[in-house]
Amino acid sequence: MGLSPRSRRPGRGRRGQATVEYILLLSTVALIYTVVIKGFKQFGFTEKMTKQLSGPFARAYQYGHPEARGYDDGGPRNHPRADTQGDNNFRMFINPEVK
Amino acid sequence: MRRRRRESGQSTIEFALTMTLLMGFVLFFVHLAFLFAYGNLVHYATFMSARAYLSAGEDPEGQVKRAQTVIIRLLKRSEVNPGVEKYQFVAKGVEGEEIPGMYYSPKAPYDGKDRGFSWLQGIRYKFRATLPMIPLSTGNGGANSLTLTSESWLGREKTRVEVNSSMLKLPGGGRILEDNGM
Repeated sequence: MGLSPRSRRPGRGRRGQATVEYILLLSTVALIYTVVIKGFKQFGFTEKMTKQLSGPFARAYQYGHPEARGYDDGGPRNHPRADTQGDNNFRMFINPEVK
Repeated sequence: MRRRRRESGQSTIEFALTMTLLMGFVLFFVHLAFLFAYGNLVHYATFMSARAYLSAGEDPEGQVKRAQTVIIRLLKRSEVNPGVEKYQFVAKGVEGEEIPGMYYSPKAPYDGKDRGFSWLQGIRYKFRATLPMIPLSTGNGGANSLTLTSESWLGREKTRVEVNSSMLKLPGGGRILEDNGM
C-alpha cells in the first residue's frame, strides 16, 4: 500500500498550522497575563506601588514633611504650629534616632 | 520564501505587546509630572485664596466670596460654572463646601477664644488624581487614585461690618467715626 496522493503533498496537509499555533499561543499569553494581573491584584501590588505616594508624599505635600501628622490624622506631630500645648516636636530637619 | 512570509507579522505583534507595557510605564510618569506641577499650582492658589480670605471684603460673606473667586480663576474653568475643572485631565477637586475641593470653614480644633487654636482659619483644597497604571489598574477610585490636600492657615481679620457691630456694643453706646483719608 502506498501513500495516498493527499499525503504525498506535504504543503497541503499543513495548511492552517500557523493559524492554529498562533491562536494557541495567543490563548496561552492571554491566560498567563490574566493570572499574573489577578495575582498582582490579590497581593495588593498596586497598593504597594502607590503606598509611597499616598502616604509619605501626601503628608509631605500637605504638611511639609513625610513624617508629619495633622489634627485630622492622629497628630499634630512634627508639624509647625503656633500653640505650645501638647507635644510640639517640630524640627525643620528630622534627624534619625541615635542608637 | 514561504517561511519568511509566515513570520512577517511577528515583529508587529511583538512591537504591539511591548508598546502596551512601555506606554503604560511612560504615561504613569508623564501623569505624575503633571500632577506635581498641578500640586504647585494648587499650593499657590490656596495661599492666594487664603490671603483674600484674610483681609478683603466688607463682611464675612464677602471674604468667602473673594477667596472662592481666586480658587475659581486659578483652578476652575469659569466663574459661571465653578464645578468644571480647568485641568481635569490631571486632577479634580473632591468633596469641599460650595466649590468642589475647597473648604473655608475653620478647621477643628478651631476655637476663636483660645489663642492656641484661633489660627485654624484659612483655605483648604482637596483634589484627586488617577494615575494610569496600565495594565495593573486604570479605573477611577482604585488603588491608583491619589488624594492630596493643600492648606493655608493665614487666619481672618475682622471685617468692617463686624468691627462696627462691636463698636456699637461698647459701654455707653459706641460711636463710629469713619476716616475716608481726605
